[in-house]
Amino acid sequence: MTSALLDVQDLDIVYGKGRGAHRAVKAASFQIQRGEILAVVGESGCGKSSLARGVAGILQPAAGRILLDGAPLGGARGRAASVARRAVQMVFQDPDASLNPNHTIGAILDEPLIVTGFGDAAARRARIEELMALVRLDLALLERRPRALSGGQKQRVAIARALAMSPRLLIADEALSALDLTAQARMATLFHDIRDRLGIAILFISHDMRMVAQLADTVCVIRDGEIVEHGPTREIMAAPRSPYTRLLLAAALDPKAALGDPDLLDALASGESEKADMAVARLLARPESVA
Amino acid sequence: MIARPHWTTLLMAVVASFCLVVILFGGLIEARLDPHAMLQDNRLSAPLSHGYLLGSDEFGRDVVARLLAGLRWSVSIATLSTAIAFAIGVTLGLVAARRESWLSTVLRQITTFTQAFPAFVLAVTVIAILGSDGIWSVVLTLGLITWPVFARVSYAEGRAIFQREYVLAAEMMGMSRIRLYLRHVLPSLIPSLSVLLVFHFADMIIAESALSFLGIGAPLGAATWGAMLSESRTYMYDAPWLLIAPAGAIVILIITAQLFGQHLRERTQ
Repeated sequence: MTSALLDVQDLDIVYGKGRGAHRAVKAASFQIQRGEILAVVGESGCGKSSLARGVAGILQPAAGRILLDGAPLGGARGRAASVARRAVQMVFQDPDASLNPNHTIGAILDEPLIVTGFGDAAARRARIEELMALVRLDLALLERRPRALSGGQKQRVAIARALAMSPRLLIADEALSALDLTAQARMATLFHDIRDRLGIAILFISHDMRMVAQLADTVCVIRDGEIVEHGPTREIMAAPRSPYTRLLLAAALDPKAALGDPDLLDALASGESEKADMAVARLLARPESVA
Repeated sequence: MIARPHWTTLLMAVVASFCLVVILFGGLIEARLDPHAMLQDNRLSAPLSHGYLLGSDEFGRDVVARLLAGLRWSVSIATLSTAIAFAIGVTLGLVAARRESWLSTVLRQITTFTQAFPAFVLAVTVIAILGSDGIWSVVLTLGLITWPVFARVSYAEGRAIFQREYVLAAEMMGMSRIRLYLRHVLPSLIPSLSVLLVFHFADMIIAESALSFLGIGAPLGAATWGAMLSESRTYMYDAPWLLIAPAGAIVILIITAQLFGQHLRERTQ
């Protein structure tokens, strides 16, 4: 029996069937401890969101196992599965799409409490006020609809909605990428605060190495669906073993200085291996740009 | 200051109210204006003569009485067949949209087939085979043949709605399916489905009129707009009001429905 909160074993996520099938996540294995913030980082299209959606149960894994507190998450079907899944909640990337535009913020936060049978209207109202305080939002917003809120406020509401389910694991899928830098910094503080106060674990999906360095305890670096490096954030930031991790770090710190030629970053993203290798080689020749 | 209503709004309000009154109080109206009462002395009376507002037909039957009876028939059939098509189409479309399954494949094949094959021809064939013995055979035939229209739209929009992140979040809560559909999915479909409902209603009015024009659907001798049009051909030059009255009624009802559909589309978008 594992002691980790989440234990992902050899997870495969595949889109499509037959010849056209695309293996977005390849035999991914990692663990998250209680109260840990683990970041999965990689460039766009590397499979990190597919990994998050697989763990969340939105995508059905083609292979592998996901254990939450030692119990498999993917096996059960129907009502039992949905109740088990409530322990894992998700905050999505697009703040505009993650809240139903026809509902007020109050109704959006009331919904998970109704679904879980939280109590009568007064108890639910008290809980909603508690959640609003936790994500530092004004109670006056409860009567408004999402379109009247800023991107940062919408993401806070999405976090509050997820927390209303009392999850053990919160997945944040690029939850900060649509926000400006100030809002990102505030949200990063909020994630720390939530972890410290509620003790829940966070799976933080991002392409932003700086944000990951600021937020995560451990990091999984993923490339083309494969985890290429996994370890404590400080260690990986100080001495990345994988050339790809070094490249990501360099690109985050100063892509122009690190690569000399910003086109090489595009080459890397487009998958042209020759140019990408040249970019890595150039980077390795200038380790000071990573440090 | 209250804005002055546009003429299209007035037309819609007048026609809709008129239809509602005729449908609700049809029995009372027919007690006063019997569409089957024949007065041989008043055959082919011109409008505004012998007390006939829109004239009488070759049997001396009041055209207004027959128009009102035809309105009840057409609107009832269009409403009921649209309701059946809506219920079947939306249910199947949304169930198939939630998860890709055999139902999705079957539904796509059916909608492709019905798109390629004219629904009216199919309706004529089915009624000709099964026979027509009153309102329900027409209602069921039209409803069961035209539901793929609603299924196609519900399926296409449902696929997109089920990928929306607030729906995914609701699913992750372990919300019941009924609550998920009623709270998140159906309300998002209201704009397109309401417009489609109105246009489908107009199509059903035309389909019913065409069926009764061909003499299939309505029982023999029933006062329907299609039958009135068909019977008027013999007297087209001697009594043109017999043609103009039902044709005008169909045109007004269809234009009103189309205007209402466009109005809804503009409002919901």
